[in-house]
Amino acid sequence: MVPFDIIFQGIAATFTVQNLFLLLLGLIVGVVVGILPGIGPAAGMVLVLPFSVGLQATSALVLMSGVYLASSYGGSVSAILVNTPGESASAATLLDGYPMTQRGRGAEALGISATAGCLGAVFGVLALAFTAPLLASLALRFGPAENCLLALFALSVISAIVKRNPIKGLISACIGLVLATVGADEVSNSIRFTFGLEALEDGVPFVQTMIGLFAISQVLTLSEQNQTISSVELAGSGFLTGFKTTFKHPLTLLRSFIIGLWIGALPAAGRSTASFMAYAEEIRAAKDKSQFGKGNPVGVIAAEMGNNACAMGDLIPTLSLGIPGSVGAAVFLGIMIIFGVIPGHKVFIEQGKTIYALFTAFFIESLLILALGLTYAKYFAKITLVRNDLIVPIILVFSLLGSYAIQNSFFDLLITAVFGALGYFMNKHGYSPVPLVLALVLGPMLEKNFQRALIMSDGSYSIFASSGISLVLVALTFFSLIYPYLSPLLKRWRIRSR
Amino acid sequence: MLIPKKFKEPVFLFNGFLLGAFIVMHHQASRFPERAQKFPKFVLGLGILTLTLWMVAYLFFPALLKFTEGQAEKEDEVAGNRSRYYWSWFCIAGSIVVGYLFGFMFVVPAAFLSYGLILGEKGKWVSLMTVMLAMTLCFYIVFYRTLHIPVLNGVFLNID
Repeated sequence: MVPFDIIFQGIAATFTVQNLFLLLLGLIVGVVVGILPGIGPAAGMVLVLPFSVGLQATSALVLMSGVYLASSYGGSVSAILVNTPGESASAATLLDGYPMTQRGRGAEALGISATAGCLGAVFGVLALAFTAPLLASLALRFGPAENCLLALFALSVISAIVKRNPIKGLISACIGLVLATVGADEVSNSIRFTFGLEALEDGVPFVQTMIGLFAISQVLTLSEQNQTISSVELAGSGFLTGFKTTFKHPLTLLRSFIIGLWIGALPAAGRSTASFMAYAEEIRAAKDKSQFGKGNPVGVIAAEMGNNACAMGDLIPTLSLGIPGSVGAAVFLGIMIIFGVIPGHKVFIEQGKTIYALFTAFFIESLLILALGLTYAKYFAKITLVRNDLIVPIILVFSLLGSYAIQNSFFDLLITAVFGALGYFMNKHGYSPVPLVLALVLGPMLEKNFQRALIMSDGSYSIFASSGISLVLVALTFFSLIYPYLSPLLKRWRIRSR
Repeated sequence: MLIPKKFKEPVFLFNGFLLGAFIVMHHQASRFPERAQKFPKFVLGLGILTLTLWMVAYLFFPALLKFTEGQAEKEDEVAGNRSRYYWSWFCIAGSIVVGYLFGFMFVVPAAFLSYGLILGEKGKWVSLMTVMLAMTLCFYIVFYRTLHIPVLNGVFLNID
């Protein structure tokens, strides 16, 4: 149990003029880097790192916390308004967020995003502060077999996403899984499918791929249409409508929060997995599934809640065990170590003041994001009314910068261009890029844990059914795969029997 | 020789290309160490099976595909202008080449000028030039001077 005086010292440390200024600065930088396609929390924090030199650990982490949390909101703004996820975790938000914008409900979608994001982060940080040790110990029970089955379960949600077009969905997922095998195999370290290109030895770069699939393909689509993204003037009252809409779906909020927090607490399963899983869960739970992907507010609520709860959940194993829950959390972990905050079970006592100052900063930032979303987001919404010949080059240069800035490599720009062409083709011809992205995220986790599990069991597949958790995951995966196809049959059977 | 229309469809060509690539990669995977080849072979095998099934259905049982895909394709078809699409690629590729030669910062004017000249609205140059100059300045101050991203590092011009 952490002594109360440490907690109060941490809370008080946040409320200094310097730290409040840094908090606000981090928040603004976070929203901006979030809006820029490809520059997610990880790259954003690295870009801000030079500014933190000379700061105390508490101040530096308060600054970083702003970038870490606000980039998620910024990513959703660009996903909703210009169909370009600022970061991979916002890809699920655009599935319903952008169609809402096309229907002139962009302001409402932004309001939903800010409210659900705020709720996810507020409850997430409370969970992080009060239950971190408990959740971390539970996540530790997951061995390679369980992690492999978890990835398989997450992949099985593709079945619900591509229900209308299963073959093309499966092809898209296969492309993603094949791309996930490119580069050095993590277990045997052998190089695969690089075709002699050294740049591919670390695998197909994820952010560059995402920028291509979503941003460049969007540039091409917008160029073709020669009009503004939304021709409807956004109503100012839409933001408050979004605020109210969010609270009309308490079950969605609860389900997505649990999924987001849990996925976050599991090492290596990142925010994109959480937002897609929360989104897929809502499709599964909905009576009318046909409205998803066409501007259903529930889709935005689920994705945002899952994403933001996961951002906090990611920090549970990061702070408690030193195991980052995502790429963003990995960078956060590195920065913590630079400033002498060494994660582990002792961190809450030895660095308690800094840790609780961090939690307080997250809490304040969540509320500020809500305020920002409900007031200034309308200015972001104006982006959709800007002429295409102005907005397209802006999206293009920031997308290319996002791809270039990570490694300062022009080869990355080529990768982005190739995936831009692929994304455009897939959108045009009915291949959903979502299974590709999901498979690309989950593929390495699936393979690595599959190999490790088999090494542990001397090649016996029985390890995948050796624990209660494994059996539950196998059952869930099987159910998830067949349910989308079984449910219409069951419905018909019920109607006939009546 | 006349090639049937069926074989010229973009989806058929794309899936055919994928099938060929997957077969070659499956063959290549056999050369990897045993542990490193299991997963890629499984995934590629799954892909080959799916694509083969699609090919068979496309060539011999098209009604089956129409049943599963027809509706989705109709909805996803967006009316667009092909020439604008090709010119857009020209602008993207041109901007990347300019950036490669003179440094990334030159992507900004290249992108704005190419889009403005080729795809932009006539008579709206003032706003275009204003945004272009503002963006270039923003790149210089924020990303070059402040964040030290080497955006002035090209083949012909290397200031970093």
